[in-house]
Amino acid sequence: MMRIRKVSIGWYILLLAFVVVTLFPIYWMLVTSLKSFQEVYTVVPTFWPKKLEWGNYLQIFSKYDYGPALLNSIEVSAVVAVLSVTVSLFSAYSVVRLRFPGRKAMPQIFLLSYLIPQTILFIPIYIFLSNIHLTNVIGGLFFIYPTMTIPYATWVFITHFQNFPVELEEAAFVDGATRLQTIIRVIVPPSLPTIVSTLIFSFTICWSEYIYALVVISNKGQRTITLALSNMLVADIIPWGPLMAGAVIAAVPIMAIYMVASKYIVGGLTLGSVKG
Amino acid sequence: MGQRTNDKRLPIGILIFALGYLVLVQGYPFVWAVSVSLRNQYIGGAAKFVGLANFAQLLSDQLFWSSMYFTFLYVFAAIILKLVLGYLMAAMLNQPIVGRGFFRAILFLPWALPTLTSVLTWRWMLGDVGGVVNYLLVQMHLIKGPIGWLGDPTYAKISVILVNVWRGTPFFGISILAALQSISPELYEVAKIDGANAWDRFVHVTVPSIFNVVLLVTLISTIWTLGDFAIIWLMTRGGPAGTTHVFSTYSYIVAFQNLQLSKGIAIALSIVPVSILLMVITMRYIFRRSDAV
Repeated sequence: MMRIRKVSIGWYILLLAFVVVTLFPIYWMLVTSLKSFQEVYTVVPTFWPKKLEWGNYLQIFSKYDYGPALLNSIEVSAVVAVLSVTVSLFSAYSVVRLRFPGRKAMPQIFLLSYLIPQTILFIPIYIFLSNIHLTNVIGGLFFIYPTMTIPYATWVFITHFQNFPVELEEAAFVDGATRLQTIIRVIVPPSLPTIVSTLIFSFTICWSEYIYALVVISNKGQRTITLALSNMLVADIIPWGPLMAGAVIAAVPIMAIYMVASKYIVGGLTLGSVKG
Repeated sequence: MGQRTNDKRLPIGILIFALGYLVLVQGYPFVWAVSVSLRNQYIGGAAKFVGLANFAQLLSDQLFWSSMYFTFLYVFAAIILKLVLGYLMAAMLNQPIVGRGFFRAILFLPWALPTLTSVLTWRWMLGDVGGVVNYLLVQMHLIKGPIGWLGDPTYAKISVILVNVWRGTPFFGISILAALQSISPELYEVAKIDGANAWDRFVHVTVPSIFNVVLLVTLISTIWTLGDFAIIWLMTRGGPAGTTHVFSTYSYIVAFQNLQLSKGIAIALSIVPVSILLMVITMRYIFRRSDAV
């Protein structure tokens, strides 16, 4: 019979503290986005809007051009995530399964590349892009964002394939399948949880990216959501209502995906190697 | 076997493409940055070789030193707090509490949210006008009057560190939780039978079992925290009076507002020895543990 261990009340008090501190900012973002202009700037803040106002959600699109930024972000994040995951899947497969000179150094190279902070590279990358005329166009971001996602995704897939039984592939080869067929039919289906979580995380990396976008893009029509939102800070009176509405729009899809997929995501987040 | 050899071409080709791409867009700019830092380059100007003059100039730049100082303070304080709170979070979620999976997902949210949205929300909450943090603290009689969270140098430093901690704690918490869950309960039983008290069990069973994970998570988080930009830039822009500048925000200002590209790059490169050291330690550590690679 299983013994039910009692949990001391202290842990529940700690849990309450963690939950309040975690959720309050998210709650506050939501509540602010639903308040009228007057209510946002009252001296005594209200914890629930006197009257729910959807105006901020209209204003962020009509007055602050959030629509194009949203489309740009969706486009860049989705395209870069899909391409990076595809490239990384094959790269990692080569590193783990195929024999070629220099193979042993590959995992190190990808991990090193993943660990390099953007803040060390952003100025030379800006100059590089301006030399090839890719500044101020969204194309510049398509070009550099995979430097963040490919190393990450390849690293995750490398650790994944190392734990993937080679026998299945060998059986497929015996049956006369080509390598491409084997990868698509034998390797991809059981790897779907890893592929999906890597896609999600790659998407999020691009979706949240700020410093590259900040230095590369200044043209309004080419902005991503992070730029559109941060640009709203440049005002005498910061329009917190619309700003929080924009933040909610940026955060909700990501939050929803994570809540649903959080079980799979942790492995990828911890670099796939922190297993205890 | 001819067909099998041909088969390799596509995956290997893609790997070479990925490597070539990373060398071109990451490796080349980095090497080139070193050469620019030895020149005198302004945006829109011609460059000439000046040797280490850019770095020499930094030595007498007070804002450079204060930004370096705050970079390390920021990293140190944030990492310690994330480690302690992350462990507490893990230990708590390791208890058989009601709705554990649900709370695990909830407490994970700050890490999942786009950095920018949480930073903006915190800036709004800590603001002087309509800021809810001051309001709550006054109501609870924890402070007498409103605090200039982002206007006072000391509080501004505390604020940016706290936002980093708020965002980064779940990464520690969830990783350490995974390590805690992999400890066999028998180990604790045996220790109990041997007469070990709670502290002994923590030191002799828990700590050795989670040490590897904690070290790795700490190293990786240190590298990321060292490279932070958005939190500080969007909360304070390095202010008030430059007191919350870290190397990244300062190099941004120098390069893109003062248009001194070479000096900006020199500032960014100043942190590279530390980054490389941390990366090398992390990599050696990871590759020592997984011999299969």
